[in-house]
Amino acid sequence: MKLKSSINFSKIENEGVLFNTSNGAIYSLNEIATRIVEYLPICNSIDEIAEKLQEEYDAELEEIISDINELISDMKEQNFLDE
Amino acid sequence: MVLYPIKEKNKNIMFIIPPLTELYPNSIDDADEVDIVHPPLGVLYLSAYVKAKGYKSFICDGLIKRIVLDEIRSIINKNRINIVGITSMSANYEKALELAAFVKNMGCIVIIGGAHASSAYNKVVSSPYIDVAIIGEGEAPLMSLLNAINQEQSINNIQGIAFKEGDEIIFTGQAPRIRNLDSLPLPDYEGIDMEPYIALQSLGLISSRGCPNNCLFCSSKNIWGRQAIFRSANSVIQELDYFNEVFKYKGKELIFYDDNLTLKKDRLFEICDLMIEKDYQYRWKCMSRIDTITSDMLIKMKQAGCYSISFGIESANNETLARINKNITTNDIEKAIKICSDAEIIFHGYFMIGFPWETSNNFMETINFIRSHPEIEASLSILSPYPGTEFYDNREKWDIEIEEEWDKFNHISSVIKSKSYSSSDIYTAFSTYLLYEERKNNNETQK
Repeated sequence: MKLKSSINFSKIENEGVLFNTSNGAIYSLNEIATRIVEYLPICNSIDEIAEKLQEEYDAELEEIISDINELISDMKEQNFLDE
Repeated sequence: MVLYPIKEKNKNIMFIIPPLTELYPNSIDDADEVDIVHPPLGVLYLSAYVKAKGYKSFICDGLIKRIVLDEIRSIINKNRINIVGITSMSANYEKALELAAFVKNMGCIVIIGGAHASSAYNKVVSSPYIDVAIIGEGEAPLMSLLNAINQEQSINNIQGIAFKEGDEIIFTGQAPRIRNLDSLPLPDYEGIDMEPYIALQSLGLISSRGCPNNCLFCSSKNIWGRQAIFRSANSVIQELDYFNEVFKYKGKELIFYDDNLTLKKDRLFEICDLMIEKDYQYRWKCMSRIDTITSDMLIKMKQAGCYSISFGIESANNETLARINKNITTNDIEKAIKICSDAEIIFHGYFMIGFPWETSNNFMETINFIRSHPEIEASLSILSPYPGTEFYDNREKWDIEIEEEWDKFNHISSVIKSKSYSSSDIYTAFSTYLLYEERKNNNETQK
């Protein structure tokens, strides 16, 4: 899973921002969402992203997976992701 | 070359204004999502002009209403239309081409005009769906074309057009500019549904055509040359009277679309005095250059209802300002901000990033200038290297490559590949600016 080429991800003062170059819209991401988007291109599965996040944050794996699925679902709805 | 109509000759013409890509609203319902939409004055001028010469005009306004091909087909068939004029900018050229293909396949002669056709006519007339491109000011070339088509005469001697004859692309040379703009009829406001525009308070007028400056990134000179020609104050007032009387527009929002309304000071004072005398109570804005404003001028404009002036600032870096022929400095910008502030008129600056030599640091210099002036309104855009401009025509000199996807010439996409910056650099800078604007607007809303 990766961001579409029309979606630019950048970190601005530690805050993740997605910019849709097709329509000019921006979306600012919270800390966890920023980390998830950073892991998208380098991890092969949601489970792998979740494991990495669990190493960084003191949270239950199921809770983390739920957060990832929610974000990915939102991003799919916005047409941000290439499958 | 002679263009032969396939239906019986008549004096009917259709104009089509394509929607402005997905960035822009396609209907009144979407209008507040991106930007306000304005009446298509260029086409309305052409329509009024041909009507005054005895033609009947049908306008399909894709700016405010979704274009339905069946409706176009029905109008063309019902009115036996042979000739269709399409206008386009670079960003909506692909949509213009789709529409051109549709009407061409119906047997129509297709004429295209507007900024893109004027600048990129070589490529435009190479399309099998386009018969002729009008270069620059459209009224006279269009009228000559209509007459030539209806009289089955050669179009080769009509100035201001380009077309393909065999394998050869022929450009007939620039047509002379219309010297007396007062002689033109008012735009054909009866030709489209004006109600949505009135509801949006997005009416405006063009009181002069052209700009004498030579900014490297600007394509205005491809349409108008480098000469500004002015309507008289009385002609402007005649149009404002029309808004007042026909559209009941008193006290509403208005925009002057001139490249620079403040270029001719005495005429501007005359317009302002008449606006005050007429008591229209319009709230209006305009575009200008910072080196053509004075304190007394802005006081007068404020009295006449002006509340905001947009200036092309482009950069907060003096070297960049010099290199793009802007002929202003950051000191001049600061002075202009002060003049506007003293007159209680909003200073709205158009800024631009992405010039071939710029780096991430230069982008941030411009963005930090905007952030350090919360009192001004700003619009930042990414350079679109339009055909006919220095960066497009001389890309080797500037050591850049250009991705010629026209729908990306929209000022939020980066189509330049430069050795000084990456697309990630420019989008990160642009996102920084957008985030700043969003938070500034949110703070202002909460106040």
